[in-house]
Amino acid sequence: MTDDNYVVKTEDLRKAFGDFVAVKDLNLEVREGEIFGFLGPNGAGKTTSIRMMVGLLSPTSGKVNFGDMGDSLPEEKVGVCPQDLVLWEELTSYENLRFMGNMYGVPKRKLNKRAERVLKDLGLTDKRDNLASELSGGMQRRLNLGMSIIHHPEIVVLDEPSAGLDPQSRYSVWEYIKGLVEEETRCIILTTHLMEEADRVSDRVGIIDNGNLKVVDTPENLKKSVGKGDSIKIELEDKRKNPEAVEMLQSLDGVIRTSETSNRVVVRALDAVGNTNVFREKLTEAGMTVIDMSISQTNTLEDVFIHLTGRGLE
Amino acid sequence: MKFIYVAIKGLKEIFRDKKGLAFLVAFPAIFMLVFGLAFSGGQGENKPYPIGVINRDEGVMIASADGEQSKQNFGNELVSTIEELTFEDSDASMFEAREVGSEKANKLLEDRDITLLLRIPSNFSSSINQLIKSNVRRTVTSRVGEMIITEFNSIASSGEENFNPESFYGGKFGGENSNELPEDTSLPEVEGITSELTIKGDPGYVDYNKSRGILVGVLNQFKEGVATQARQETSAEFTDGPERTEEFVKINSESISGTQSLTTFDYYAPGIFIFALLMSAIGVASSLATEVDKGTLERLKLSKMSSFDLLFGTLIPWSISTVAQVLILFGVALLIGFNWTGGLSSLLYSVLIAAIAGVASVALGLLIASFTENESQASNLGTLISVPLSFIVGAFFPLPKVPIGQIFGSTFELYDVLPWTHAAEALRVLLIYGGGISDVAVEFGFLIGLTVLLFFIGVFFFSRERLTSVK
Repeated sequence: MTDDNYVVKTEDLRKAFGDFVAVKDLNLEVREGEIFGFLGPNGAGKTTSIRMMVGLLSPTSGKVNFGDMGDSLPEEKVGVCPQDLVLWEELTSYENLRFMGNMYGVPKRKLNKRAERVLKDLGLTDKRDNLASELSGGMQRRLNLGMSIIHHPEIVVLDEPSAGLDPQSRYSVWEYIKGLVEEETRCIILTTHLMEEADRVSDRVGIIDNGNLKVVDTPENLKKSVGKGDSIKIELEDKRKNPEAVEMLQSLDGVIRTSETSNRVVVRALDAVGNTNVFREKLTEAGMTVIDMSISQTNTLEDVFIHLTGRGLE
Repeated sequence: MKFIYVAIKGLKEIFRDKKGLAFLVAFPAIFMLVFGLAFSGGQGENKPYPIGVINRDEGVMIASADGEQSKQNFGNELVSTIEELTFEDSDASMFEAREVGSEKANKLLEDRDITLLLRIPSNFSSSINQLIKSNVRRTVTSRVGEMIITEFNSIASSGEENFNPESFYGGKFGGENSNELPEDTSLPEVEGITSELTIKGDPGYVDYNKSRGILVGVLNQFKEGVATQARQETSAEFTDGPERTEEFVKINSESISGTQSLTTFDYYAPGIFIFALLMSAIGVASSLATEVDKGTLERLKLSKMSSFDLLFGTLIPWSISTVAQVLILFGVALLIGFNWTGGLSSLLYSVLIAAIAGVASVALGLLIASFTENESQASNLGTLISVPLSFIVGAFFPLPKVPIGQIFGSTFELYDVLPWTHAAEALRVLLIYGGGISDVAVEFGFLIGLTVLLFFIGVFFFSRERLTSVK
């Protein structure tokens, strides 16, 4: 898939650490004005991909192009929010923001206004003069994000931006991220292992596993791609019998496919509600004890991931 | 100019990190306090140091001004000089020197009946004679050179056509009114004779270190006195001044400034300054390793900050903190009775030297941070390096001599490759012996040169290991 209106484009991007290939021939375009989400489990190659995309890591092969900005990205054009909290704990919130702004060469007057604005938008105005070490985890996470966009970058890269946040802080960070691309940045690339984050924030999602980019599309299209039927997750008392259950349920009428994911048996079937009792009876007859059974009638990105990889995201 | 922001950030971090600050200032200050209280009693009274002397000097035949040959024994003169030394503002002798046999010397040292043993070699007088000749030769060539230039200028200005060598040469050499050449106009030949005096003792014995420190100063004064005397006597031959009847070498015994109330602590205090400065390398290394470990260095690398901004910006606050550290240590030392000799200038020079030694410690910190991944590693490795270094550079007591060559006529020891060795020595001269900046010029030069070298080594490794992207 090609689009002339891209901001970042990778061609056969590959990174190997010795014999281990972390990212395999990544071909991808991030378009003007979009939030692109990399979804995948831990160790899938998300962070390695974005580090290569912004020049933090040299690829083993392949190249990155930044559209009208050429092959290399000037430092002030990109803002990177690392996965870990990277703050100077002995500086206040305001000083942290100003220090990073100074390092990016933001003019003093502009920087003061910008720092106040970022603090306000991230709900940290009250904590302006508090040392970073005195902030709560959620506040530190928001300040971490603020420091990556203090210099008004055109491309923002967010590595697991809401990791460790409580639900309330998470939603406010998501709203802030969506506001950024509407108001001031050309595109945002985020990595996440949270399907809800990828689903709610991203315009398009790339699912990556074992260094391979499996699919790229909008969350809606991806969810549709899973196909018809509902998803039934069954937890057995004896997990060792999961493979046997997968094989047995696959042969029943109305069952589209079965798999074992995260120690549970996942069944995609038509008329899931009506078939629940049938599945339970068959499993009981086979000497298996069901301790939990749940039905999902709306497809999620996790279903997409399971559909693509046969495994869960966890 | 971004280094200014890095420096301001560094200063804020240093002064807001209470634990780090306590380590930086309180630890050496407490160390100084404990040391001071434990050792400030010291010798207390002006009691002479018993030293043993083995004088094997065979003397040397020296021609006096009227050409008469006489035997001179500089070894005996040196021993007399040592015996005549007194504590400042006191009639009490500083040393009680006694001739000992080589077979008994070790036993006396072991029993601490003598604090040290001074061994004067058989060729001591010969080498001093060469020192005199060397100075005479240098003075004569310098004076004759001046005369030749003056005479040429005179000829040129008079427009004289016939060059008369006698009028050019005579009448000058040996006095302005003399038209005759002196009897012996040949320059003395200088042979490369070097004598080696040995000071033997137990480096772990406090009185050995104290008496050795004084004795080394006396020996240097003796050498310098002989050379100065030779130059003055030779210069006098070129002027109309009264005929000099003194012997060629005359040593004036002078009390060593500040020795009137020296205590053990006084000898150790400059070393503790150096110890404290070396400890600051741990702080620098920990601070930089924390930047690496917490990812802040990577965050900075993403910005437009250059390596220079980071390194120079790091150097400034740590240098300021080391100066502050030295001032605090000085204050603590004075409070507990440190006998600081010399005037305000000695203090200012000491602060300057300490600041440069502090820069050397920053460089050491850079080097340590280059090979450590986190604060804990940096702290451990820093301690592992800084503490032994403080002993190696002679902060507490001198280590056995390990000469590796000669530089500017002085023996260069293995430990002299470390800038703090020179800082420690310079601080002792300035603070204990009341010396001036000219007395520590060589140490000062080495300190600056080696600090710059170490800083570049630190910058090289830190840049290579930490400032290039992980590619």
